[in-house]
Amino acid sequence: MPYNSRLKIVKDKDIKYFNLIDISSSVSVDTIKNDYKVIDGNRNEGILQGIGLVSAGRKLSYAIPIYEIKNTDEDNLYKNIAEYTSLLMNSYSYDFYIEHYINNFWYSARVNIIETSGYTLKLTNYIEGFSFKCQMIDNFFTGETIEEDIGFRGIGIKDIEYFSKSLVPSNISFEWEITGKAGNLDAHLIHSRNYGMRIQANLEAGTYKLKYKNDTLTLYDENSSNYGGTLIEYSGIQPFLDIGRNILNIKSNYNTTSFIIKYSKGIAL
Amino acid sequence: MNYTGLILNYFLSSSTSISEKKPDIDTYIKIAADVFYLSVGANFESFEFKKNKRGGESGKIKFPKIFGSYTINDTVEFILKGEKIFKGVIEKITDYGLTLEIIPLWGLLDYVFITNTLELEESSKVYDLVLSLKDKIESMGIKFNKENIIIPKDDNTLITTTLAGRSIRDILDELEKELPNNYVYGVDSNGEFYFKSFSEEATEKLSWHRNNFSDTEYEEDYSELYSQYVVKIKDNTMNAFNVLRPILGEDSKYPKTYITDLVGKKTRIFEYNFEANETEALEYAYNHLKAQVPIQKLKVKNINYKNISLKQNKAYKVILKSQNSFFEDFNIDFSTSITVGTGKNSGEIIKIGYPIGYARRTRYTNGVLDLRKQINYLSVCNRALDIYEIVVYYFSNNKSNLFSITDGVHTISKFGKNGILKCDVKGFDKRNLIIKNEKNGDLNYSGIIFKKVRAFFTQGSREIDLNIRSIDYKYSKGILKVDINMAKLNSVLTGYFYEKEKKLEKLEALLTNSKN
Repeated sequence: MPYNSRLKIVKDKDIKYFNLIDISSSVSVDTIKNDYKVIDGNRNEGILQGIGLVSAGRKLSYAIPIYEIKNTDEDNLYKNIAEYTSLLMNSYSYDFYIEHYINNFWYSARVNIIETSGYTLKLTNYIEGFSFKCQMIDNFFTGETIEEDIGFRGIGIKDIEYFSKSLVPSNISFEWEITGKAGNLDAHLIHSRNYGMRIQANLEAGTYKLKYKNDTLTLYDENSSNYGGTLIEYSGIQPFLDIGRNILNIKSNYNTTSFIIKYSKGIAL
Repeated sequence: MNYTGLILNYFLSSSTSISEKKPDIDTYIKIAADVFYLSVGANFESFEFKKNKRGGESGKIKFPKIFGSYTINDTVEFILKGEKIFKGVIEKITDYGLTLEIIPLWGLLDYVFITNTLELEESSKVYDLVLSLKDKIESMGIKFNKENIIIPKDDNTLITTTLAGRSIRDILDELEKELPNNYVYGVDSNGEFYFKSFSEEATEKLSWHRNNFSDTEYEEDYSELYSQYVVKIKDNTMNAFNVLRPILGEDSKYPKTYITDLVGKKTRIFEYNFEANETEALEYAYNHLKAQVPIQKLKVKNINYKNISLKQNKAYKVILKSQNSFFEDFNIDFSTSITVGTGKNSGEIIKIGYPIGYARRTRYTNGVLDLRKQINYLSVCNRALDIYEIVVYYFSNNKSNLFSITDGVHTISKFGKNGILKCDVKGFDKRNLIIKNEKNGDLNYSGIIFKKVRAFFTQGSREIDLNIRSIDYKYSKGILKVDINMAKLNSVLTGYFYEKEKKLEKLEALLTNSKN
């Protein structure tokens, strides 16, 4: 039987997968809470500690089909259940992701497991399952990464219209190639409706690549042997793409040769 | 008896049940010679360590069962991720040995007295005074290093105090008050004494958007602000105070400050201990009045301590939790920018940054508010540019005024009532906004004066530079929670817990004695 959802358990470099049966009843509008609209301690630590009005995401229920953990004798079954219970309840040591397979891509979201069934097995769709409940840390399921040149070239300040391919708001990462004489770089990328960031750096003459990913801005110098790049500080907050039409305001006093934005396509599920 | 073996056993037995979980050996509490790891859940019922500007405030550890017998004055150290956070000694043991109450090392300075030394009775510099306390401080097991005493040596202010019969802490408190507010003494977690200044310039960031914490509570305290001063000057000949007539804040020479809007009429008596002439005194008092700022307080909750190391007293730039109806006032200096127009139809255009070569008038008949320069992209980098409403506060003799709002493409007309104009600017290009006051047919129409512009964003977050004033480490039910309180170093926060408790104890002792 093919499954289109799975549980990914990550610890350092070890990854484990379990096939899942989705036993969540339905997704309704009021259970999908956008992080930036419902904002009361909605972060990972907050959920684990249950402090404040935590409303990070909706709660989902899944079951691991029992044949995955069932062995020939009963003792083994109970031993497995005990082991899996302690594995799933160990949010401090493991990261949990729920993944769904849609349009040839796995869309994944990070969750915290808040409840497991223990010794009671649940019968759903004629399959016995070891059930658990989880709460979403990420707002949405994200999959395929989209890379696109948005066509900003040269020096100056410009408004660029861009249509997002994602079905949910998604954070913008970018790769920005600039060339110029020695001097002070003064550049910005601002979304007209949410946030923006300003980059200022003192550069020597040459060709550079600015890469922004995971809240870090790195400067790559093509002439230097420093392949890791150097970290540079920026002011402001990472902007995100809205669903549909977006206007990005970009400014640069260095000549831009390419500007590629990267974001992951997401779904609300 | 050494209990380390027992603890290790405990540790091993519990670690087998949690498959694959490696112990976090960098986080532990060391009491005397015993080490208690945090990753072993059964080691503690709860504990709590508080840090303040002196390096520590209080500590409390609760055990589920007795692991060892400790005595008063045993050292306690709390190490988080390899970094020493707190060092203190046991002050009290209660609950038959289950609860340990810990005082920070600097608290010991309360118990050292200067008995018969009268050498420094005369005036001397702060630096020399602190150095002279070296032996006494070292006698309590605190390391004293000259490098940690960073007080300007060439400062010529001399201090005269009586040292005999006072505790070291008492003397240090007095010296601290003599120096600027960012000078702090204390004992750090390595047990070293320090007396130095801390910068108020932030070099590191804490951001809600980067998941560094889960919640913030921001507060502005106006309770210490005064909008008016009654000035008293000392009269030496009469040996009495001469109370001056004017109350500042109502004079034309000393106009109202923004504080009046915040706290209303709140009066304070401002005394001079030296002789001064009237105008000098008033000017001095007025400068004082204007320089008042509200105390900014910030609570940051659930810090992600796994990625961030917090340094006591250091300044951080905090990007607060984002808000839904975020607003920001754009302070436009209207008074200097009002110019007389060319004489054609609608008259005056407010433009910032233009040279003023025209004659100025305080009141004018028709106003145009050009927001094209006030709200630009760069000034709004860390908040939304999606302004959904602009509220303009203005002054007018008329009850209602007609305004037109345009971005060059769309135009709407709206009436402002009672000095407030609310413009719904959804769908407008916010970079080209111009708000114009239209003339109506009334001959007695007197026009308007703009006061303030407030823009509402769909969402945004504030950015504040503040120093860490206290850090709380709380552990219970297997979870460690880290909260911090922030404020500027120069703002006086009342109630350091340790100090308060000491005072209460003294008071209680007095009361019970008096009853008997």
